[in-house]
Amino acid sequence: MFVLMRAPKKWLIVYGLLFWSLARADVLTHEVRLDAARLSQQSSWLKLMHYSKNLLYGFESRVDGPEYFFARDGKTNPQTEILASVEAFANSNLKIGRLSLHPQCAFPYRYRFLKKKLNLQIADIPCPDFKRWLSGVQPKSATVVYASGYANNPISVFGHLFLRINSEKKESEFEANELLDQGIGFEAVADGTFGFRFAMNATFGGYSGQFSVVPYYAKVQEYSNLESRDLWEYHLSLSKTEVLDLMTHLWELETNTYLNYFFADENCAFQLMALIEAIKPEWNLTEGFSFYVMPSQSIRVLAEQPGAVQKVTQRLSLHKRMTGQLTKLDVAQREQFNQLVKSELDVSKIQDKQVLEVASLFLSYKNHGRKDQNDSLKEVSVTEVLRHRATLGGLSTLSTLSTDPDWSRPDRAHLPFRAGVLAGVAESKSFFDIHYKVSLHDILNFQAGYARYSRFDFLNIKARIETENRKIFLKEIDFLKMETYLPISTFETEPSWRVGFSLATPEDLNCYPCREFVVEGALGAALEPWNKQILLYIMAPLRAGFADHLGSGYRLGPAIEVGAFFEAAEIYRTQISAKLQSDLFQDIRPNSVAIFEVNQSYFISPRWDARWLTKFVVPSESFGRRHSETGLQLNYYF
Amino acid sequence: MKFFTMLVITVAALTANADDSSTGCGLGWKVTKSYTFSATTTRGTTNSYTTPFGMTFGTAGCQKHTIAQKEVQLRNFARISYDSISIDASMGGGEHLAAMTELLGCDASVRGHVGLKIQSQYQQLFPAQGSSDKMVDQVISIIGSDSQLSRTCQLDT
Repeated sequence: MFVLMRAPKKWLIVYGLLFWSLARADVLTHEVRLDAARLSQQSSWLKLMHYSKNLLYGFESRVDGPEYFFARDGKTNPQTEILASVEAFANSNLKIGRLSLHPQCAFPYRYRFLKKKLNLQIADIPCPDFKRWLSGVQPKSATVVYASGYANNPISVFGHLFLRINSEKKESEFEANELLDQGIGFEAVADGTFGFRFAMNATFGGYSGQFSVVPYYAKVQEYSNLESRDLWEYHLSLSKTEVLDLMTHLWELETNTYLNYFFADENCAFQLMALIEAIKPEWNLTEGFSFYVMPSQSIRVLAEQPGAVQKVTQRLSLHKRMTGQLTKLDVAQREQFNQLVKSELDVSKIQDKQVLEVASLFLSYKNHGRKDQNDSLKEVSVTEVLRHRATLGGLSTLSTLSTDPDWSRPDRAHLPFRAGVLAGVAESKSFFDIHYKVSLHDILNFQAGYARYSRFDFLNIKARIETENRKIFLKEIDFLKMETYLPISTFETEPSWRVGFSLATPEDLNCYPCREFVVEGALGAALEPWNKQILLYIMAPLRAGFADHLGSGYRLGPAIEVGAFFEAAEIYRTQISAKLQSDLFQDIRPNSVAIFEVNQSYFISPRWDARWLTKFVVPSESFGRRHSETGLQLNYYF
Repeated sequence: MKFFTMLVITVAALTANADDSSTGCGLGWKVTKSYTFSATTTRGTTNSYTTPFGMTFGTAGCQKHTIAQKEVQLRNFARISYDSISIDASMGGGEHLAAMTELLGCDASVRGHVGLKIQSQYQQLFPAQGSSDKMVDQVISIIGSDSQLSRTCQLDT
């Protein structure tokens, strides 16, 4: 096999002839060759071999290890690969792959597939190692699990995807201990160095990817408990046989070859989808993506396949379980709870099991959030609460919590790229804005699949066309903008924050439209005083602007901002804000400028939303520039 | 590197299987002849919860020795899920405690009983500075000393 791969073409023929004689009969009959030519263009073969169509040079397989191919040009030639595979399967003397197995045992799924499709007359070779391995799988079904983003870290909006092989051994619904099932993920085998080389490798494929197998309980601890992320479980309609096929194909990939890992496209989500597609070619799970593939987008494509997903379930994050149970306490219980977690009441005085149980969830959540356990000395420890709870005996008094509504499922999320047109009026003159955004989610977007009130925007380019004076100019480039509002409560005091790097066209400068490079960071607090529909916030931003025309080349100043979000319905969000921005250490501009904004967003579908944006800029002194504009925007997501 | 490790372990396991089918199931692990609860309490394990691909579903020898596989699973599960088990145990039941009981080989019919038994001995099982391995050892001995549970719970089933 290895000789075969590296041999020049003329030797290939010699080896080929040799194989034929060893195989005793020529398996490549005229019919087989004809069938192979036909099969080589069919999606079942193309998907099994992970071929994708390359615009420049036809087909190319995403499998990177040459051991996956028997034909020398197998990576790019689906047809020669069929013929070479058939020859290899018929050759009784070959040993290949990491485990030195016969091709039929190294590629058991491909063998079965070709034998059936081409009606091959090849004797089966026993594969004890593979059989033993497969007998340990005992699957019943498979589930694709999506770990959603979490509010504290907007970067997590990219989500994570893995597969769960559900074991057959489950006895009843209650005992259905999915915790003990196996999770399969595709991950980059990185060497622990982060930085330029890491980024280079991740981008250009310097890392190889590996399918890892980790018990589901470890995933539950990591995502659901430690990081407080929801796990959305998409139960596939794959039969037991198909799950066995999937594992068989996984064996082919893992014992013979490797796939390079690319963060943008050939990542965890994409390769898992390709793995499913390989044994279920009638599902289209890898097509129609732009140049990057997000886990949430893969989930959307999966959910859109007719009949692919049987049902969707949600495992609530520890945070949601904790807050959910907290709302079930009545006023008196709540009071006890408050006193307990603030150590104002000794734990042994509490006889209410429910209060103790909710407190234990709350304290575990708080413990997960910090590394330094010493500062918890002032507080009652979770161990103390649990030990006391155990002495009271009896089963849990916690209520069953309802999961999030269907509309908030990650497969209902809006798409990542965006292009939009805004028609508006600024200072009584009409204009158009056109913009293009590489990713991802802003504060006015429909929140399905994303953390509430979070933003992660990367590379948003906006141009303005002023219709009266026929002027076009670059209005804005947002290089990176991240923002998150976390409502504080008696027990949770996480700050809200914001960072941004952009090239802006500030409306308050008299040289308008001139540009300024802006860096802004802000810390603040948010509150949901009445219900989930209204969020109030106060922020303290610090803004620095850099441009030649700013006198000393820069301007700097803190600001104060108050604002509110209203959500009349989940598809209709309004943001109102007022900001007073100072401009220190200069006397050529007003000392401060006030900015008022009212923005509304109406979600139409995961591909469309409409907005009405209004802004007033009022300087503190009359020699400053005033500005007002309003406009209607239509955005398309793709 | 991970893959290389996996390969080494897989090959080692395969070789071990060919050589002596009573070893296998990973590094630092040896199956003793006795399959009783008392024998299993003395063993520790060095296995990480991230199981190499070839091993996870029971390559090489492990199939024949579910006892070893189950106890490795049990200890890994207890280590990773210790906090969740301790919460469940204080309430005498729950998903994580059920999973642990399943790994202890207890029949579904006695799982409620096991839960309440663990709850009743909570103070010893979950001390302020507890460890998952000690907890597992004690749980195994609690089950072993209960005449009903020692019959219905079997690590080797």
